[in-house]
Amino acid sequence: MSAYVLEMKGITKTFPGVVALDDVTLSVEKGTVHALIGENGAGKSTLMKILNGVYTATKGELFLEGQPLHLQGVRDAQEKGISTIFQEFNLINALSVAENIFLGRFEGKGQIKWNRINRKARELLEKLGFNFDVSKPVGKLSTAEKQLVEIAKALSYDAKIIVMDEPTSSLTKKEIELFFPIIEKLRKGGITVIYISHKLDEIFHICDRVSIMRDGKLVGESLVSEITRERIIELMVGRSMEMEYPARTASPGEPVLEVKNLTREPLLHDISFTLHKGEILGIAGLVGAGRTELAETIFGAAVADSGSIEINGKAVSIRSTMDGKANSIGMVTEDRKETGLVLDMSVTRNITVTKLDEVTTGIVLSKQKEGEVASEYVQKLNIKTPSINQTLYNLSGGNQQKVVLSKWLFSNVEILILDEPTRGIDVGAKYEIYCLMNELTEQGKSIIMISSELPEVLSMSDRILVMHKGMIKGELTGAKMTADNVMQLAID
Amino acid sequence: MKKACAIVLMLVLLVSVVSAGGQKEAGGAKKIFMSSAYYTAPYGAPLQEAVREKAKELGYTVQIVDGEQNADKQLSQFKAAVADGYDALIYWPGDQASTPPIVEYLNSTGKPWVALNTVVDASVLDQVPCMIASDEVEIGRWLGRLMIQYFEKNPSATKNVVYIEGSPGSSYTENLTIGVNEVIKGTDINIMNDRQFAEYDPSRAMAIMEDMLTKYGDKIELAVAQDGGMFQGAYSAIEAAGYVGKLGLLCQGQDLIVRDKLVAGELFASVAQDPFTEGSLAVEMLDKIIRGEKVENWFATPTGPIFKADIDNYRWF
Amino acid sequence: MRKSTLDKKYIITLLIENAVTVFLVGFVIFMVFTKRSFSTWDNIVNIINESSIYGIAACAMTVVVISGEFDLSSSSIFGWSTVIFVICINAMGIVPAFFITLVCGAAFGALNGLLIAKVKMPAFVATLGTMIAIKGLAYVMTKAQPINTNNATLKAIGSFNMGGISIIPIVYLGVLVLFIWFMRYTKFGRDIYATGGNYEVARLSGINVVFSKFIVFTMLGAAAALAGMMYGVRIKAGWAPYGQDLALYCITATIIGGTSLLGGTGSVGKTVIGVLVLAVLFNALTLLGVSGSMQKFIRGLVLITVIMLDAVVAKRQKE
Ligand SMILES: Nc1ncnc2c1ncn2[C@@H]1O[C@H](COP(=O)(O)OP(=O)(O)OP(=O)(O)O)[C@@H](O)[C@H]1O
Ligand SMILES: [Mg+2]
Repeated sequence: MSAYVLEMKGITKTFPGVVALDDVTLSVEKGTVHALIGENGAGKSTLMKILNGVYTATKGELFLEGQPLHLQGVRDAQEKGISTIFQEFNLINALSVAENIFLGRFEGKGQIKWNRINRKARELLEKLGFNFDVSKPVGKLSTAEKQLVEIAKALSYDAKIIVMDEPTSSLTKKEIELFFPIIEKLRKGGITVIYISHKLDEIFHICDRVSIMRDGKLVGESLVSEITRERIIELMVGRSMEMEYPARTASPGEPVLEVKNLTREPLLHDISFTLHKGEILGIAGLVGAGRTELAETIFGAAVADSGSIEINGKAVSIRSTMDGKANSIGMVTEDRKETGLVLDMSVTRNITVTKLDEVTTGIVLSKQKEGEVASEYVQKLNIKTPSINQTLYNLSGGNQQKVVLSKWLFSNVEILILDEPTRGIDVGAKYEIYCLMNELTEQGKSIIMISSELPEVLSMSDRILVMHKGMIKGELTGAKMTADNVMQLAID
Repeated sequence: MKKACAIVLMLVLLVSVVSAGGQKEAGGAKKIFMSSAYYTAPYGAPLQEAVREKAKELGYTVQIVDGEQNADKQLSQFKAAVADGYDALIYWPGDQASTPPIVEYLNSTGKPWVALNTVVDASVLDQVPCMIASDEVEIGRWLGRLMIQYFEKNPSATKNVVYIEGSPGSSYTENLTIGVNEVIKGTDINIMNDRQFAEYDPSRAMAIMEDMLTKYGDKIELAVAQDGGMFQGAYSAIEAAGYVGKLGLLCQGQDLIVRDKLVAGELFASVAQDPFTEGSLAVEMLDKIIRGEKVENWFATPTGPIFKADIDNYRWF
Repeated sequence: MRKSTLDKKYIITLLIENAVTVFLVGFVIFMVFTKRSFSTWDNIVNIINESSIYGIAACAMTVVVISGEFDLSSSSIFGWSTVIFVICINAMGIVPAFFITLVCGAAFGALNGLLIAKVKMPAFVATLGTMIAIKGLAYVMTKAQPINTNNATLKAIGSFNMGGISIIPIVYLGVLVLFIWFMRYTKFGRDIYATGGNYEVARLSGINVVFSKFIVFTMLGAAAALAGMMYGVRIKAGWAPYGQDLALYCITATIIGGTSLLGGTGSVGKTVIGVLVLAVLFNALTLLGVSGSMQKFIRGLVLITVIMLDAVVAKRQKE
């Protein structure tokens, strides 16, 4: 009998043109929280998809509690005690919490015994320390609550192992604080958690062991208590990094964008602020404070009820995204899958889509120019893709995010709005992106950065606006830019 | 799983193509090719059946394909058939106006051929070796005459009639109506509705009849449909509204529903248009042309009224 | 990140991905050996001529499908066009007739475009409505009668022939090249792909999504009108119900070709294969002596098989 609940031995996985995993061996002890970390495209998600039956390995073996494991599919894995919580939830919005938890496994012959199912669902949630209406449709829940439903679903299968792929990337700070105790409860209940994240703090906070991957290989493994943050980064990135944030290199000049009394009921009320040339203006606040809505309104994706926008001292009317672009405004949206990328299209096409004029000779698109542009950004942002013609579906999450950034960098706009720009991006690549932001502002471009990651906002902004309930509650500059001050303004 | 399904489907496909194609070329018999614009119409089936029967009897093999009322498609079908060496052709046009290019093409092939059922455009009528069709206007006249007879037997002051037609612009529909109008002009028969087209679709005929019943109720004294299928639809509406027996019914056609209602005494009369005769006549005429005999340029299929007593003199389908 | 070598699996994948082409080639070979008359020049020309009329509309339908929509009313625009073309030829000659018909077709298409792109009606409802309305209009115009023409110029055009190939395949080729070029090499084409691929993403990329959707319907209207005129060239008659099956035919050819109904992927070039499959199959079944009813069954079977294969390919690509 082995001490490990799970062993993955010599796992290799190839896709056409890519070796995603190369002889990876991972052993996980029972009842631990095991972190899996690595740069974008390192193969973390792929490894987990082999564990949960989505893919079959090209080579290698799996053992669950010492027994060889052969999986037929996701459902089979679930029934054998391996559940996964993906970033995109596998929930049906129109169905209730209880229905989602027991979907496909309703009790009763012919007629479903709703009472029993609802009671069981309630019990599962109570085990996790929560208590909410299980007959509510899942669509009405917050992201954090949806995640709970997913965990409850995993428990309902008597999960031995729960895999969480970047579970906190779309949670708010507050929600994350509520989330950690749940993991603690799972560990106490003897359940093993495999935890993928790009946030190193979290790993030091809740994980017992950490495995580090790079380029499809396992490059290190250690008890969390025996390794330093710097060492992890070094193993991941392949070189040592002194700082996670570069120093700002540009300084703000005259105003470029002036927003006056912008109102869009019921989301935005009377918003006024100024953005300067070469400035990075951070916008902080809780989810739902209206930050994304503000960005949309400035860019033209939504139309304001009243108020005015001036660019370089001239009033402009922005009523569509085309107007926004015409006024040299660009916006990197927060949800890459829904609003950022056409997943069916290639890397090249996604990058050039915002500015096809640039790669057009006469009225004919020049494939050569397009290729050059794409290659340039693939190199600059270190996007891992077998070719620039790969469809976005097959890229890892972080690399997809880099493509979203590329597309707006290429459009070469004067005012760039970044909504959660580094979500799902590894530390190494984050640093590159911050440097790029510095470079852009040096060129005289201006950036509005919306971010829920406080360290990022604090380190990279020249000035911070804090939003609350659709209004700007305060502005912080210089020495006032501290985490405490931001949080004070952000919360009631 | 899906892959297996796809493979099975592929196999079924291959087998059906091969086996469907396999049942051809019976020795040295001459081959007839027919393109039927109304392949799936209720009237088409018995007609095509008669063509097959007669061809077999006279020692021909025959292939009939669906022209889908698409003249261009029919032209292609004939071209394919000629390329494939068929000996004689039968053409059932979808409508008049589109016939000239096809008639010209058929003549240019030098093969024996006949046209059937839908009368070709007047400009090319004399170029058709033999046109086998019922005299559509005459069928219409019979419908008119039967209306008059009905009101002679069931005298009324108002003589209100609901009249349901086929497809607007199809020569068959238009000619029938010309015949009807010719006969009832000057009488006091009153067609209550403006032109109502059910497009030979029973369910549409039913909807039209329902509307009429709602609108006029028992003011309607006689309901007339241009064919058996539409009659069936109208009858369902009348039945549902509980009007069976309270109003007279009249139609054209020889299908079994018509026969049943004649037997039941609910249908006053039908007008004969015999697809069996028409189909076998076409093959007979074609046979004559193949053997070099002279045939009439025009050959009318017989028509006339069918009452309950005459049922056994007709073939039903 | 190493390239894996060309292996057997890769070749199988390639074959399955191009199953329709493989099927077409295989079927043609089968026909060449079983039926001598199939490979005669006359018959080949016949297949080409036959597939060209609907092929013209199918090109434009593919573009609409790529934009994530579809259009039922193209059938009626086709029928309407045969009518207005013949009426105008009889009244004022072929040149004005050509332009009037084309403009009418484009205008109907633009109406669809407005309803769908601007008013944001679902394509099914909008084009179902215009389908009925346009057909009704064509009936009213002609009192529902089919009409024909004896115009000498039209006859001359109709009898133009280059080794058996009429003017229609030449027009088809022109339209085809134009559409392939448009979709591959122009900004508008690319915008249409993006709009169909993900409407929100395209909108948030500053693409004029409303215009993209509008223009595809307008083009389809014009193409359906052109196809209707080609029908007129061949048949020299016009009637509202002509081309009733056009919309379904075009959508079928598009799907068989491999363009997904979900939008965003596919190409006009692929649809040529779809059109050819339908034309070859139709011709072959007639040559093989298959009766009308059986032909319908087999055509349905082909469609299902192709969609099935498509699902297999999609699954393979995901893995
Ligand atoms: N279906 C696929 N087809 C081709 N390549 C793929 C496919 N899935 C993943 N890859 C490639 O495999 C590599 C590993 O991807 P994976 O999603 O496992 O990375 P990851 O470690 O989860 O990265 P991230 O942190 O960005 O989420 C990437 O280079 C990716 O492009
Ligand atoms: Mg991942």
